[in-house]
Amino acid sequence: MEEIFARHLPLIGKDGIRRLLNSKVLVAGAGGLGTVVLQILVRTGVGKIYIVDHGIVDEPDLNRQILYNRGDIGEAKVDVVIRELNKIRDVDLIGIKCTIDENFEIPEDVDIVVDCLDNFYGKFLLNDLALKKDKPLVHAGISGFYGQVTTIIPKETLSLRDMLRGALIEKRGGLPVIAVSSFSLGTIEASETIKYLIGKGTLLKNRILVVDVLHNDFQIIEIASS
Amino acid sequence: MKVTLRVYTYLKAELGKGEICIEIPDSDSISLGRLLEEVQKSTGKDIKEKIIKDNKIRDGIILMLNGKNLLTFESGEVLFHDGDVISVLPPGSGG
Repeated sequence: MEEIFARHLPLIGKDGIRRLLNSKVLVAGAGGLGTVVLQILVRTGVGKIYIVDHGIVDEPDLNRQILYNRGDIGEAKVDVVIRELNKIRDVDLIGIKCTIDENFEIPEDVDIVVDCLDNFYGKFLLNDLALKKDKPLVHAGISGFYGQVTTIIPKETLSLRDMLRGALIEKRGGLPVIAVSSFSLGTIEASETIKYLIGKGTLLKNRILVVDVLHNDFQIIEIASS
Repeated sequence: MKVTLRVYTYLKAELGKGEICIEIPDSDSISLGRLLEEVQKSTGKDIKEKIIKDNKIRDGIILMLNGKNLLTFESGEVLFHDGDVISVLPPGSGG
């Protein structure tokens, strides 16, 4: 077993590490949330990750998108992500340079999808595509100092679309956002993903965790599933 | 009758608290607009215009009645009744 796992091996056991090494995750979006999620998944032991993003690194990304540095400006995010994550450990990383649309196919071997997209049009669509293939999805969204996380399990929870109907669909560029919120919410998203993969702990099923880092406020909204 | 309003993130900061219980005597139902007016009377804080515009729930605001998204109800105006819990969440859309 790789020495990199020595400090969390006592927490999740050899079986947990094995499950992670055998797991396949699709991370949609390699921005503020995605770069945090990706780094945690790689360090914790996920074996294969699909990374979907069409963007290039820009200077305003550097306030929170943890895998990028000044020298990466102008490069495709997916290329930088793969280069940086491979410095941490050997992991099967597959970059997909595209936006999520109706024709996007979630690969058959994916165990769980992580929504790190930056607009609700894409978020709802990604969940529709995941549900079509019977795949669970971890959702997070951020704005300013706050955000929310929930985990969608086919046939067990409402869809993201039904749960958050009324959310702003159109993409609004340049929303104010700060590292403390994207790191916090991205960390919780990664935690949900890991817990699902190793079958440990409690998931946010039919519950929305609302986080406001400005006021240190963590609240759960219970969702009626029928 | 008594209903509970729960608000999150910037609405909570605006109201100064996350939950408020409103008691309406001599009535067995209340609309959202009237409820928010009662909240203003009780707290001195007007959050109605942040939630409603032109008699409709503002785009980007999610309202839940007892944990169920109000936009999934088929009827037009929903009335709240004794014991109802209304949650108001403006979800973050960024990534």
